[in-house]
Parts: sequence; C-alpha cells; structure tokens
Amino acid sequence: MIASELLKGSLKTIILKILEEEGPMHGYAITRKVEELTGGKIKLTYGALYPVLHKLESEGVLVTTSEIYNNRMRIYYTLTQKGHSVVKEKIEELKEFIQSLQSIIELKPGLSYA
Amino acid sequence: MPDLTLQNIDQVSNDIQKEEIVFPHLLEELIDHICCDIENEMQSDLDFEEAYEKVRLKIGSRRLKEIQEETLYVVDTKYRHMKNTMKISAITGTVLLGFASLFKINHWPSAGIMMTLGAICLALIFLPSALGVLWKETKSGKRLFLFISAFFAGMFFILGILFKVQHWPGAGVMLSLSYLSGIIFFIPALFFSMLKDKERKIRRPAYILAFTGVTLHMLGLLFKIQHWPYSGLLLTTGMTILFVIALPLYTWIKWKDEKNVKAEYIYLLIASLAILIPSVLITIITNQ
Repeated sequence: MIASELLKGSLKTIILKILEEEGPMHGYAITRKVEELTGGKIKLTYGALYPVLHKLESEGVLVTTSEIYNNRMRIYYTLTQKGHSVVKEKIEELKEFIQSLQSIIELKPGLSYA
Repeated sequence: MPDLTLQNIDQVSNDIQKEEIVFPHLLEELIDHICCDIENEMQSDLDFEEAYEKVRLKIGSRRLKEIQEETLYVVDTKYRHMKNTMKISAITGTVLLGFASLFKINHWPSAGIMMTLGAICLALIFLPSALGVLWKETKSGKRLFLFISAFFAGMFFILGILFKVQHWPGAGVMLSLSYLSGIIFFIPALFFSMLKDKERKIRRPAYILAFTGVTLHMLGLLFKIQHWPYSGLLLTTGMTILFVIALPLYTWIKWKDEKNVKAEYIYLLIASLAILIPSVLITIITNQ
C-alpha cells in the first residue's frame, strides 16, 4: 500500500488521467480502476476521492450526469473541454516531478565529487 | 454481482442520512458507493448484514460527516469563509481574553481594551459564524432552535461578563437574559434532543438528573445576580445533583455500556469545569 501522504499531491492527476482514458465514470468505478491498474497498491478511500471530485467539478474541469441504476442514483463524472487541457498540464507536471525524484533517489554515492 | 434489494438500499440511505449528510449530490454518491462496496463483499458469500458491517468498519464511524465537511470546504466558498472566520475569531478572542486577564492581574495598561476586543470577537464574530457553519453542516430545522438558543445564551453571557468586569451599565440585564434564554430555551431544547436518542435509552435517568441540576444551578446564578433570596440553596442543590449524583451516575452507566473512556467523556469533564469556573467567579464578583 502506498502511503496517503505520498499520494496526496498526485491524486487529482490520477483521477483526471483515468477519466480521460475511460470516459464517464462513477466514484466506485474510479476506485476499482485505480486498484486494478496498481495491483491494489493504491486504494482510494471515500475521504480522498469525493472532496477532490467535487473540487474538480466546481472548477469546471469535470461535469456530472446522473442515471438510475438498480434503484439508486448513480453519478457519472466526465471531463470538460477545459478538463482535457488540464489533464495534459497535470501529467506533464507529474512527469517532471517523477524525473526530479528519480534523479535524487538514484544519486550514486561519491558521484558529485568526480 | 448480487444486487441489493430496495429495502437494503433504504437501510443504507437512512443510515447515511442519520449521520447528517445533507449535501444532496454527495448523499447520492455515498449511497451508491457504499451499495457497490456491499455488493462486492457479498460476492464472497456474505449476507447483506455481514457485508454491510464489514463496509461500515472499513469506513469508520463519523467519517462520512468529515467527508461532507471536507467537500463543503472545497466547494462552498461561503462555508469556507465562515469556517475560517470561526477558527480565526475563536483563536483571536481567546488569546485577547487570556492577555487581558494577565494584564489585569499585573495592573498593566490596556487590559480593558483587550478584554473588550476579545469579548466582542467571541460574541459578535465567533458565535454568528459558528451558527452559520453548524447550519450549513446539518441543515436540520429541528436543531436550528437549539443552535439559535445556544447562540443567544452564549452571546449575552460573554457580553454580560464583559460589562460586569468593565463596570458598564446593563451587565445585570445581559447576564439575566443569558441565564433566562439558557433556562427557558437552550437547556430544554438540548434535553429533548438528547432524550430522542433511542439508542441510548439507558442513559435517560442520568440525563434527567443532569438537566434538573443544570436548570437549578442556572436559576441559582440568576437569583444571585438579581440579589433575590434562596440563590445559595438553588446553587447548592443544583451543584449537588449535577456533580455528586448525575455525573457519577452517567460515568457508571457509560462505563457499563462501553468499557472504555472516549474523547466525548473528556470533553464532558472539561464542559463541567467550564460551568464551574464562571459560576465560582460570578459568585465571588457578586459577593464583593
């Protein structure tokens, strides 16, 4: 399991990327997809997922539609036009972060004195 | 995947609403998400009740309410402003009052100004914003009366103490208004909302005793301020019922019921001190 502190900053990007790939999805489906893709290493809790989804919706990055499924209301999230460009930005940002982290983690001892 | 019956969904929906989830969009999502989780658990041969219990344990108690607060905080600008105002004014007011007492004890200048600003901060900024935040979080018409009566009792109490300490006119009227709104509105409203809690029927005797004690105690304080007779008798009876009978009884019932001490009980003890200390102070001030 990956610690939630590590996950916090990249949560938005993860959700946006999945919605970009998979199209409209509801909350539960997003958590399942993330678990499936990461082999259960990333588990999104209710508390992590919904505040972020609602924030993205209020920012105009996502829109919701609802339909009745098995006697209950199901709410689907879809990327807006603005959302598509935000995903690209966010992914670039995350890639850059991962590369920077890698260059720190893979630092060989004594290399900087060479 | 096994499907839940309409009755199952109703049960989940009622339980979530009991946790005061009032944001409709989030409410629908939580119902659906929890139902999906239950259906998933039921795949491993659990029945509805077992699967539901497992999901509930996974979420944790009071967590749904916290999720609503976090969601409202990021989505609702007005709520965010009110919550921030509430936090800032609570800290500013308390710090100012703390410094004011320190300055007053040492006879340093500006104690009066700090006390006035601190009390105004708490009574006119903190309490109204707290009322707004509570309303947004619960949207419960039934409890609105409880919140408003607490607001008025608290506001008059803080201003009354300020006026009393500063020797401004009208202190007695404000403190009396505070105690009257406490006795007539707040205490009964709180009492009925607690009696309605069917799951905790066993605690009723302790609640009834506690409320009798608090009411007598507050009447005693009111009589004391107004210099009416029998205030001492009312205060002694109220305090005795509250701290010698009701609190130990409540502790015993709770201990029997839960076998451990929760944060809630520690808050109760702190609240008891919050009743005791101002009462002792007022008794001293009015005796002088």
